[in-house]
Amino acid sequence: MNNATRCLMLALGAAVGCASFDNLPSQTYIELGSELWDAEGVVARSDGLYVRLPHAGGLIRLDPNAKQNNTSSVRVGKGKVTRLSAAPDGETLVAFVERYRCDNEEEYEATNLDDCYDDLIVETEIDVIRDADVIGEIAIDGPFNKIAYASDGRFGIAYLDFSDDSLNLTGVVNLNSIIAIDLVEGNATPISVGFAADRVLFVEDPDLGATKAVVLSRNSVALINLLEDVPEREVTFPLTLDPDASVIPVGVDLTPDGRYALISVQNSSDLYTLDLESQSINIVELSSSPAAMSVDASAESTVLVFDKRSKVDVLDHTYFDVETFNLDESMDQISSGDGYAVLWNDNEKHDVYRLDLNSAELVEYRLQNPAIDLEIAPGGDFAVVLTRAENAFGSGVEGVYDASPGMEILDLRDDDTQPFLLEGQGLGVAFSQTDTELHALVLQDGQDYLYQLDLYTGVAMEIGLSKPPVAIGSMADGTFYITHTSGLGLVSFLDPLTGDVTEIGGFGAIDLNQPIEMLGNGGKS
Amino acid sequence: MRTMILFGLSLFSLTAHAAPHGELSVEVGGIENYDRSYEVFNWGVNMPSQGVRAGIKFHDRFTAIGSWNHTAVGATVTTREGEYSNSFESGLFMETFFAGVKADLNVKGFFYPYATAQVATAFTTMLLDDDTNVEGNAGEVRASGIMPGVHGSIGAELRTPEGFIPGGLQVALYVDVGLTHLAKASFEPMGDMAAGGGTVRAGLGVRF
Repeated sequence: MNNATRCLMLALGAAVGCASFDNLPSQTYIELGSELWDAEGVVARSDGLYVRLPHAGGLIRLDPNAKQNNTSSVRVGKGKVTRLSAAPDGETLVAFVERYRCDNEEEYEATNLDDCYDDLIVETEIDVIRDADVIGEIAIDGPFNKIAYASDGRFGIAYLDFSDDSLNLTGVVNLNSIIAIDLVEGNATPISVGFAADRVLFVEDPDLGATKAVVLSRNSVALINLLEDVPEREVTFPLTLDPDASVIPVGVDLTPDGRYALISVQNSSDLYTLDLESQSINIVELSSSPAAMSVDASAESTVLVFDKRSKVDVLDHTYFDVETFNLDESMDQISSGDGYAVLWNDNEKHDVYRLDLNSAELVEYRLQNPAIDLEIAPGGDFAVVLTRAENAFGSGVEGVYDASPGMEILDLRDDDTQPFLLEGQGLGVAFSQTDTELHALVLQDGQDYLYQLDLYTGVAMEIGLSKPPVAIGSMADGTFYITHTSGLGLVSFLDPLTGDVTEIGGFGAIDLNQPIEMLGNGGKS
Repeated sequence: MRTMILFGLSLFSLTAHAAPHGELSVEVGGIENYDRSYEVFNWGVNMPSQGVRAGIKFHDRFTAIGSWNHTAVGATVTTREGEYSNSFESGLFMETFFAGVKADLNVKGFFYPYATAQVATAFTTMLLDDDTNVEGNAGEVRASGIMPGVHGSIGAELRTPEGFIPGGLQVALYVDVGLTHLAKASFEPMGDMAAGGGTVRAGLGVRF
């Protein structure tokens, strides 16, 4: 090696040495207009965890079991993935993709969003994805943002979910329309059903799969026949004949045989029972306007609770008789078990009830603080309640409880409760079960550990995390995923049997430098 | 334009005095970067740099020059979606090597206008770090690329008069403006980046 070469190598070595993570030259502050990754909207499928990249517009899959490359990009083409939706088969992912064109007559060709100074034309498409490959692209006309799926995953009904803050309504929007999507055939059929449709149920046959869809909208319920060559509206049930009245459904469910649709409506104690076979309507008088409703298949009955009355109604599916039970406090939430319902309230109340639908036994539990979430553990023996701090000025142990977020374990086999104080507000609970153990895994806001509690033995441990968590969920193989507060992306995968944590991070940087590309200039091709 | 052509021709026609044969300088300056990729590393389009330039005169009017410029920029980047925000640290390190020819003109023994034509190679590394407090965290991202390019500039150099410093040494101060283009390179997984635009440098050195 001559001197010149040696000098060059030394210079290169010095240059490479400068580029290290421990001397990053933070000289300024820069703000990007969007997150690099969506920590709250991840979707677990059997082949991995899918993560949306809002800044780059793309979609990636994280596979913690991959030997080498644990991150792969899904090629969705030019445009931006705006939402993800999980089909019930556990394998299929549906991505809402926006494609962009620039409505200008300029000579230059707009290649990315920054180039389009004039009106942007947005075309919406849903991509059907399996194993990180796009296997179908279905154009849909309208800014639909939610899909309800039949349990076999073949059919979906796309509709507008106005409760979604990120709903972006541009252009002319038909508020009477929904889209029936056949994910197998890859076609989409717009159907007019009624104003602001936002609830969908499927009538399913054990042999044929989904045969009909029940779509609720204001003042009417539409029944859609899915087995026609082109899905079509079979009948519309009006919920009122008074054009001045506005009947807004708040709850809907089907009886297990699929014959009756039970519909509760806002500010009314009437429960509409729609006979989907004879296409008739009956109205059942309830104790009040229901706040929540739940159908129990094993007990052949429906439970209804009311936020303005301290009662619970149980409606049998044979004669549609109503049996009413008195409560100490009003309830507005129902979590269903097998043959029982757990009634709770996510406002100011402290009571929780377990109602056995076969024996009509009602057990009352008293929480220290108001609940924000209640999850029934696998097996149905326990329920875990996350509670929030409340504005009270008690002293002693009551004062400590009032000032702190908490967790309470309800033993559903008797009336025991076991309260815990949490360091941070509980964000979510997940469960892992073996033959001898049943673990509840609790995420807390701002805390970089996972609290694991064996519900059988009461043995607890903390599982350290690199960063505070955002959300928790389970993968098909029983592994848990935990997303974190992280700019560049961080997901921990926890094996509940071994306690091993595998981290995948930095994926938010994928295609960070690439602009969101446009299809080009002009209107639709 | 006419002035430029005359200046260029004059570089070849005028007779030089006996002049130093070598030069060594330190310099500071910057190259513009309009690539979208640069947005996460610095506010604005300037890529500041510092480095050294050396040269050996092989003709009365021509000097073979080479230089190395080091760029290190970085930022705290906040990503925001609604009420929620996160942040990470970014750093861009670029080692740019230039090599080419400088043609100059001796005016009155102390003022030397000149022009250069050079090729360039930029060894560039992008670093993103989710947590600078934890070495080796899962959110460390490194991407490297090599960007070939070209550079042309004109400049003016002021030197101390010959004999002012014993031993034939002269002190020189120069300012040089020009254009640089560095070709697009791939920085997986982040994507591509090119660089280029106006370039400004100022240097201080010796001529011997």
